[in-house]
Amino acid sequence: MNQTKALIIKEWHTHKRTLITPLFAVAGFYAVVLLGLLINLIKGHDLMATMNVGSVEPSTLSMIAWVSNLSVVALIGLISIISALSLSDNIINGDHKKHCEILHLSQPLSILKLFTVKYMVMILGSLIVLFAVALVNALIMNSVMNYVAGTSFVIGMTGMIQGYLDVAFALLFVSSLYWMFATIFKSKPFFKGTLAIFSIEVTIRILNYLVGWQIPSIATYLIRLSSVTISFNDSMPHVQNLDVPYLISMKWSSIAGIDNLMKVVYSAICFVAGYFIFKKREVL
Amino acid sequence: MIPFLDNKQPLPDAYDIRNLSKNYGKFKALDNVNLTLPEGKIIGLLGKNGAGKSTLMRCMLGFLTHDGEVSLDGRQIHHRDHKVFEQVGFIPDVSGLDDRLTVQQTIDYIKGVNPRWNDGTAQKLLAISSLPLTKKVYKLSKGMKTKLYLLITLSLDVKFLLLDEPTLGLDIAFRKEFFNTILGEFFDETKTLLISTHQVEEVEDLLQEIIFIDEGKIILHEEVESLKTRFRIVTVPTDKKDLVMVHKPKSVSKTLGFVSVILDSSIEIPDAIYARPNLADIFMAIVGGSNESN
Repeated sequence: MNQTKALIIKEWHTHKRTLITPLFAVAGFYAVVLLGLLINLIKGHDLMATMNVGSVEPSTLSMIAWVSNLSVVALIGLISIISALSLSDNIINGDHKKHCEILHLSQPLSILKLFTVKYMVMILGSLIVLFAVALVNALIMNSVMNYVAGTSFVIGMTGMIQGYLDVAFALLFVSSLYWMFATIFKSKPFFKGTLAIFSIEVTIRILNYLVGWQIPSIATYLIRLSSVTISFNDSMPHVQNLDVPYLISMKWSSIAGIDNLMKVVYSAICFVAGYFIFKKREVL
Repeated sequence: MIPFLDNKQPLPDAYDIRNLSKNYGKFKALDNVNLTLPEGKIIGLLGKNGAGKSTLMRCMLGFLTHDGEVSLDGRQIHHRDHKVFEQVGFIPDVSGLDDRLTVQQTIDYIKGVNPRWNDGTAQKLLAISSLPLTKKVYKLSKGMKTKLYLLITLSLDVKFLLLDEPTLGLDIAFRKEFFNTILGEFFDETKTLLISTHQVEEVEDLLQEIIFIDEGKIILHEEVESLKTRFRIVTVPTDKKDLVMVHKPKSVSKTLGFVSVILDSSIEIPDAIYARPNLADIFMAIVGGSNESN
């Protein structure tokens, strides 16, 4: 337990800036908004006068609350995914790049424990920061929207949670994939990993063209698993009717769907493969 | 050569290396190395650049895949075997600390991950080190980094300490302090020290055994005193140099009308001046080549 705690603290000390990047991004956004409000107030503008929501249907307001929360979490999630990708390389290869790998590997610490703690810091650290930022943002945003426009606070928070779960599975998959690439490539793993996927895709397309095979596109599949989308394809009639409860229930079904299950499975495979590759590394 | 305690009982072998070979592509870094290192000795590892010193140490620590066997106290060491560090401490170049941490964070980290940590020793070393605890490691001078590396390594209750060119880049004062601290705080008759260094003259008086390595092969492993009695510096006037050159010495130095070579002590040369060689001289005599190893 002591070892795990010491490892987590060490990873926190060495990677805290990257971990809390989403916090900085959202704080920066709020600073800009507050600055704008302040300038408008100084100029004597009536801020409430610009928000005329008297004629908006309640179902539209619910839709706005739900979609805006989903979208905002998706945006923050995008920043979280980028910072998790950066973390995947820094956590695995940072000690090597900083020429202190031998110091860390000269301790009686099992590779499995070391590897698992690093992975957990990357995944759980990113998810915890994302949740904290998304939660605080949603509380502020939904309170303001409820006060100004009378939107449903509960629907807004539901959108936040659904958006968070969507992002969480995408983050888990993407960062695990590039985590594995970081174990293979000590330098520029993002570039080299992406190049590897691109090369496989080109090979598949050439084979399909030349031999007439029907191998599905790996890039399309990976993009699907990596994306955070607010998909209405199956429920267009309901969108037109702004049936928000139905859309919310569809979203729950999608979150509990096969794609997210596959993201978890692929992430586990990437973790295990990464462990064996990392264990094979020579320490020069 | 088997080392003995005073009562002539053989010392237990701690490290046992059998048929160890390591290749980097086509380059043979270690070539069928056989070596036993006993407990309670200070052993020097001397070789030219690229002779295989660092590779040997890294194989002894399980850092590299290799052919052959490396055992510690009868237990075979495998690649990336963390258990070896329950008994072994390792100091490579002292600049290999984690620059991103502060001094205190570095100490807390090693204390947390290494169950061999001895808080008493650490406190003692910390008290005499005057290390700035809140300072980031990258802001420390090379001398301070050396003190920190020593603190975190010597605070471990381990039987073995492997030092791989630990004082590279340090000035002479810190180099001296480094080895004095190790001798004072680490070494006793139950512990073993393996030192690989280019500055062999600085550790020569500490060493009890010496290993010469060249092109991945162990050329010699012997007690220092015994080795020094086997060779001597033979100096003759230049006009008599044929008397020594007939023995085909690998290293010849010429100064002010004299020629000096290292020869086996059993060789007698008429009118020659004899002197006791140091380890660097003997290394040159046995291995030959440039003076890089000095």
